[in-house]
Amino acid sequence: MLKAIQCFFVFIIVPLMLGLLVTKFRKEKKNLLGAWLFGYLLEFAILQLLAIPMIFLKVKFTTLFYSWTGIILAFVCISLILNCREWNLKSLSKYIPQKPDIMTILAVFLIGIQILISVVYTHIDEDDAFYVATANVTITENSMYCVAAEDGAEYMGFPTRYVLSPFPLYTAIIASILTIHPTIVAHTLFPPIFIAIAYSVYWLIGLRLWEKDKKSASVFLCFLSILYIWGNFSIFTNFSFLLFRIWQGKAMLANVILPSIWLLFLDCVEESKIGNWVTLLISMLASCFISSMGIALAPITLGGLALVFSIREKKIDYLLKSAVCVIPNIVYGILYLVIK
Amino acid sequence: MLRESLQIIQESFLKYKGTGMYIALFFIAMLYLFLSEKKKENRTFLVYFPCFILFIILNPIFQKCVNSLLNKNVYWRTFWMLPMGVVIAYASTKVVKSRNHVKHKVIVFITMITIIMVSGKLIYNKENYKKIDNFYKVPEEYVEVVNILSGATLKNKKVMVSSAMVPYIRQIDASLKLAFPRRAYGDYEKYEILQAYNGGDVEKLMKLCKEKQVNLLVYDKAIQMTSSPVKFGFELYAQTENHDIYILNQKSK
Repeated sequence: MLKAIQCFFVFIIVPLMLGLLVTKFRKEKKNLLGAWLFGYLLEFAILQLLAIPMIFLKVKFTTLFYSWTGIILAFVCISLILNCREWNLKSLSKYIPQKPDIMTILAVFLIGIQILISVVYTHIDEDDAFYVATANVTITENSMYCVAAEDGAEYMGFPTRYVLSPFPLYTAIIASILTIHPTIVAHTLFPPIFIAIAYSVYWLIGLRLWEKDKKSASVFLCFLSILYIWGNFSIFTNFSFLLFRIWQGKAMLANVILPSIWLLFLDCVEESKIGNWVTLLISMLASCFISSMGIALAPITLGGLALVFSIREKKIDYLLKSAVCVIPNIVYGILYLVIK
Repeated sequence: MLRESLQIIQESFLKYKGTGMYIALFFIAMLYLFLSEKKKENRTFLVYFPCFILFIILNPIFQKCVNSLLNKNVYWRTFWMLPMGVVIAYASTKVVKSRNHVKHKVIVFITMITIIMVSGKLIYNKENYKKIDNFYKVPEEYVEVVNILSGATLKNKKVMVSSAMVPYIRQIDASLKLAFPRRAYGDYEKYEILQAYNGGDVEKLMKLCKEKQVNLLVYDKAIQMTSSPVKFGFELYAQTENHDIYILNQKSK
């Protein structure tokens, strides 16, 4: 029971509170689902900023752990102070669905099936010999990327492909907070949460595309769920990666981060507010953290969006602001080439 | 130079597309939206943006530029930038919404779902998913083996296991070092110790174990051994359903 409460706080409350800090500077200040998503993006972004210098300075993992949790807790406290007056039971009651229509029920059912199967069954993936074992090694050795996850030998240098995107450290931190084995966190706790986050992004995209028409967004989500469930025509698709191995950074990149970039850019197109662009910048930092692929794929995605929208609207504004947002990716990209 | 890039692009596309039906649905959806979508923002995101991304991904010059980070083994991940699911789902929803009567909407909805199901492949099957009773979600016997190894009172534990088991040991107990690492592409030929293990050549295996300071051996019962590790200073420590676990006798070190 205590573990369940801890999990509820770690996976729901904390990201939500962090996200409400972000939404305070956006148009939709009371978008709870958006806040939950932004909270995770902010967690990843902060961890990226802290972890990289600490890895290169060969700092102990516990130092990163206490630094990150301290910063997160500080932000949660600030969020509580800034938001407490704006929320009461009456405003929360608006989020309880009054009469959900059949398509919403169907969408929730289809997503629920995917989440349930991710918990009850398992897809065994040997890449976890690196990704999940890295989290376990981090805790065991109290070091970060000093000892090889695969066999326990000491690294001669740094594993260039992976060290700039230390997503396994997030697994290690969560495992340490919950005092649950990191392999259990990765295989049993992360899948239901991250699948829910992925579909939250798609729901928000649906609302954006259908101009807040929830019925149409529900139909959209039903189709998307079916596309995912029947998306195993190849093991290399984002569809397969969501349902096979969402606890790995690259799966999160394909199913949460890249769709988040699409969503957040569309928000910037609708209203070019500084808060929207800062959220996009946070997502770009998160893309660097989540996977080394993100360092390249995220700026190409954002660049593509900025270019087509700039041409369509004949405004260079999107390109300039997007260029600022991709600065983290450029920095980490250069760092990758230097250490390679 | 560009020929090599084109080959990488082609191989990556073939890996990603599978039967090609979803890709076909994607292009049909894009065409439909190009012709029918009135909202400019949506058309830009759902048609022009994917076209631009395709132009980038299928461009050999781009492949050459990103090869250091996205080499031939992982270039297929560039296809993740395409909002394929969003485009198909949006177009399908639009088709449903275009019908006026509820009955027609339901029929079209079921038809679109059926088309998607027929075009794809159900991900939930016995090949892809297993029911495992432990929370690690690692094969049960491997958890049992690791628990036994973890309980052994040895310093600097180094374990020799089969290539099937090697990805899982350190996921459960990272204090157990391994005689060889897991190879992502299954190229284990270079590990002489594994060749000796698989061939049941105990004498050679023991010699290599000594060189690598291996003090725990998890032997697959299905492999016939030429001799027994007991003759080389190991003692039988425990057994599981499919494996014998040997521990180096501390006195014979």
